[in-house]
Amino acid sequence: MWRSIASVQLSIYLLFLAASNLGIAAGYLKWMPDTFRPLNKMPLPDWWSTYATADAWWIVTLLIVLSLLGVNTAACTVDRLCTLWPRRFDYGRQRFLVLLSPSLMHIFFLLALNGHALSLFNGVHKDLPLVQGDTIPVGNALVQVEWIQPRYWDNPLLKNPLKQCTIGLTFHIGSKTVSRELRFLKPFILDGWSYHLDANLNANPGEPPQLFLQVRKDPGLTLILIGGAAMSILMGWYFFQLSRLKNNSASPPKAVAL
Amino acid sequence: MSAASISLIGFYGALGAYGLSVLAAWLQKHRISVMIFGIGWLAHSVSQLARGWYLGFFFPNPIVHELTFLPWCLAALGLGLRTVRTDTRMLRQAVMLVFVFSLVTMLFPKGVLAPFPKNQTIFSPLFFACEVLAHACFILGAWFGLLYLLRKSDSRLFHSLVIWGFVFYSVSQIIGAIWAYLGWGSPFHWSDRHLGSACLWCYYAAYVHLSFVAQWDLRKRAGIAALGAILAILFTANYQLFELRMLITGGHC
Repeated sequence: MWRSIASVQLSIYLLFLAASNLGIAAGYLKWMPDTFRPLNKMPLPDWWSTYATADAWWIVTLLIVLSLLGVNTAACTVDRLCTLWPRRFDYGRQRFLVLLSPSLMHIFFLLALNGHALSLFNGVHKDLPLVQGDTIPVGNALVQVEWIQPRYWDNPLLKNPLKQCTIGLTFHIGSKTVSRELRFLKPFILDGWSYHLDANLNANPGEPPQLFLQVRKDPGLTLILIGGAAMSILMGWYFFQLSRLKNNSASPPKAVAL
Repeated sequence: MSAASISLIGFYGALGAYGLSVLAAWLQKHRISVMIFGIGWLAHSVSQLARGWYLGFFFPNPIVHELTFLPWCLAALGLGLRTVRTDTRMLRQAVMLVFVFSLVTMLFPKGVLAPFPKNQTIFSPLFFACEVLAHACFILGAWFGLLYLLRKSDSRLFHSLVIWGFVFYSVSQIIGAIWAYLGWGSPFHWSDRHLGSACLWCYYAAYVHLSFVAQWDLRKRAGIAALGAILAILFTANYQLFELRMLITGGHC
């Protein structure tokens, strides 16, 4: 039983299944955006109670396949570590690190996968129109929009020449008052909420774009970014080391694969 | 002469050189074919660089735009293989592919996508550069995989290309996630673009694991590598059509 759960053959089937499922999902998102795009604005349980129809079958299968992939990856990693760890003194340090890195990659992959699950089930997202002088309630805070300062490209070739925009915000949290500036691509975190500037950039030429304050709580964000980055870096290092070993032909690559 | 004109003339020159290189290879004039191909790639490089100044100010994104950057990457990989490997057939086999993808580029309207507030970060061109390089590795890997299946090549090089494509693709996905968080508030979005990328990543993650199972021999892996390019091209075409609409309407995502 354990052999089957921890088998690489199962990983391959599950990854191909996940790829097929995600390909189908991409099709649904393309052809039914009104139904599925709201998933970006609310946790999955809320979306399910509002929008789910028979067309949402692929979400169920995707969650099942990814959960099985998570279990299989965890079992594979434990299995490999149990084999590798007692033999750690049989190899040189460099070689042991090369052998260890696939297991570390899988651990980081699991972190990223769990991050996505956390975001999907517990993420909070609000889109609030930004109008100068307005006061917006966010959690325990009142956010006052003090000023809006857009900057434009000086180029007649551009139909929508907005280059950047700075928003002056004042936060009233209990007895505390905090002033912050918000720009495109420069979000900030305050009192557990992350604040982003968004805009409908498809406004008619000559009209100013509608600006939005995006307020988010994404519990999976750190896991996704750290897990994904560490996995990618390790992957690059691992394959580089493998090709070096192969080129030096000091030890054949099959031996490294354990 | 404007940067736009330099870019266009450079690209036409490159396309002509790639075509002549194919012709020379067909006539068995391999040294001449390689030489003309190298000249074409230089013209293509000038064209790509000039795209950075297309709008009259420096904006790096058009340099790494998939339509023109993909054939450039394919050509660069072909030349790289010619330098690293002693087997000159690799470049000959890649020349045709570069020419076909450059011809496809010709079918699209000329111009560059305008900047918008959310793509003025280094993460944006870095993401596209890594993603397009990965696509080039997948497509060239698929081409060599197909030649291996047809017994026109006995090289295992397709495997290395796909593996490095997967590494670049993984790096591009994490850079893209950072950019998406900064610009749109979340590292992942429920959109056909993001789900298509996840689909491609899972497909090639499965490919990477094939070499650890004995029943997936090199011929089967070559088949999987060849099929992967269809997925890569399909999702790329979907996004390019979306960008084409942006180019025509001047809109943004």
